[in-house]
Amino acid sequence: MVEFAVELDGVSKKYGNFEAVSNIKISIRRGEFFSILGPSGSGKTTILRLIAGLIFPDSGLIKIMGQNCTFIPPYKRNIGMVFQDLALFPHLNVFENVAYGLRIRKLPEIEIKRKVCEWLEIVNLDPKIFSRRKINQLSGGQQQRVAIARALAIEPSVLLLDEPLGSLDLKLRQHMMSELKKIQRTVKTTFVYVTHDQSEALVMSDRLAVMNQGKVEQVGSPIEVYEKPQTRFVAEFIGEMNFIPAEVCEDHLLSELGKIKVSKINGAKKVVLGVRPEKIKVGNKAENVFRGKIEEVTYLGGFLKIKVNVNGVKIKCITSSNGLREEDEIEIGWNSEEAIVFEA
Amino acid sequence: MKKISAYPGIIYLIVFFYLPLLIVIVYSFGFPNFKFDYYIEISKPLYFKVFLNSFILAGITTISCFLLAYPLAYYIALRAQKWKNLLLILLILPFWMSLLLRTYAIMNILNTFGLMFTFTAVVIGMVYDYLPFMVLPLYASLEKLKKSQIEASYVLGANPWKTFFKITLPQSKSGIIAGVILVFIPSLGEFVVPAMLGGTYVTIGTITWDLFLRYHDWWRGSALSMLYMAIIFIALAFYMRKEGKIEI
Repeated sequence: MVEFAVELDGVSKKYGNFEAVSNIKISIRRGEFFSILGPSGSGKTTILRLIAGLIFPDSGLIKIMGQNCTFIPPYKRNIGMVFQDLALFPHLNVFENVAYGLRIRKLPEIEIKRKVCEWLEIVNLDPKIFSRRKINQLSGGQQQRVAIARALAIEPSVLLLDEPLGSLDLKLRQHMMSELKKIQRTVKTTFVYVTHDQSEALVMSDRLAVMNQGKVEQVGSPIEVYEKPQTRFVAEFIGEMNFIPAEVCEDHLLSELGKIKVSKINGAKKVVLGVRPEKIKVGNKAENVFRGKIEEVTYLGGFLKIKVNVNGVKIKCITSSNGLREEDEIEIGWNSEEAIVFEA
Repeated sequence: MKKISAYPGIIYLIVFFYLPLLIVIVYSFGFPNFKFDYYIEISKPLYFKVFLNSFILAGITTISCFLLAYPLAYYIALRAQKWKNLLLILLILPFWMSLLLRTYAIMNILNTFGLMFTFTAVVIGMVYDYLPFMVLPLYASLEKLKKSQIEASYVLGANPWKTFFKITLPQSKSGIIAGVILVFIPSLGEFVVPAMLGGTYVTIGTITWDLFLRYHDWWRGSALSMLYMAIIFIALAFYMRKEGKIEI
């Protein structure tokens, strides 16, 4: 039994002079929902295409189910892929789309019929109603489901999904997110999901890789990546964060705010301290407390988002305390273990 | 648009097309008499041979055009990227010249190779004249094909050949049909190219030309034209009944 469905070892790919991805090392465990998260142009789709074999790397090794597949063409890899534009075949009906990979594998007709119906049911499409439909007679969400069924019907070693929810409206997207997660739990296939949307990645993934400019910044569970971002980019890309430039002075930091206690200090002299807005408490019950003036109050339903000016540094906080007004002088603070020190 | 705006076009067609066509029909029935003699006469083996010649020429022209055009259209539509427009212009460029001029030009080329007045010369000339009419509809249908569909087929396990026959070819069907119609029908009646390059190769086109303009035999010429039109009409009607419509 192999532990990893997909292993990328030092994979690089250049387009002309542009380095799409460089020295990628990722191991995706069998049966996990793995996301690759990053802004557009960060190389996440390139990684997916490398795994699919639609492009070959300039250097490095790609293993699928323990087998070296680096230069194996896509039609010999047994991989499922849901394309960004879905790439359904418009000249075939729903049934034939899902049956496509099975027919290529020359399965007996009766087997094909059984499997196609089974997969249509898994993605919540009634085979009796949808089998004979043309692709252009389906709604966006239904097309989505056909694409997923078609990719899964061949029982691939891994299912690759390239921002498949991008074209859907918010409501449907949220619905499909929980649906996808449910399908993944049912079929237990390894999913590799590419997205630029942090909420999709955080909600669905068991683990995720955050990418920036062709490099992997961090790999971890959603909680790890959110709570313990290893780089400033990760902290900035996922969720919101206040960044306070500071200098290391013995066991604490000196900044525009004043002296700041921290739990851990790395070797650097000049640093940036990151604090999530929701970690900042209003009041003086914290290790680091500062006085400031509220500059902006935004009402967000259950809570308030306020911007506090402390000695010229603007700090965003999220709080549930009511009755805060602009121009109010308040105290805010956080405990030292809730802040993260990054290199400047 | 108001109905009246269609009138000039309709009147033009009536005066310059349907009225003359009516005259041709009348003549084909032996005007000023009324008899079927000319139709009976053109059903004889001599004329059958001429029809066969035309069908062979049109068939070979269409197949050759298709074989040359498909890879070219595929390349322009799916691979050429930034060269796409330039290639399309280069393809159409020769057709800004008149057919006669082009045929004279190719006469010189064929003469250099000693091919003049052979069947090969006629085919080369025909393909030269009709190739764009095959490339353009094929290009239009292939251009709509998304590259991701081809990739999806690969990932689903189909090699490039299977992908071509299961994804690309079926989706370019409308382009193939349009191209075949646009090449086959005019080349069936073509007379300039066979007359200038072919010497003794007689087609419906060249014989109609001879009957009308050399022998002033309006009756046989008309009957032959009518038969030619009837064949095409029946063929298209048959196709449309089967497929419902023709997309060009």
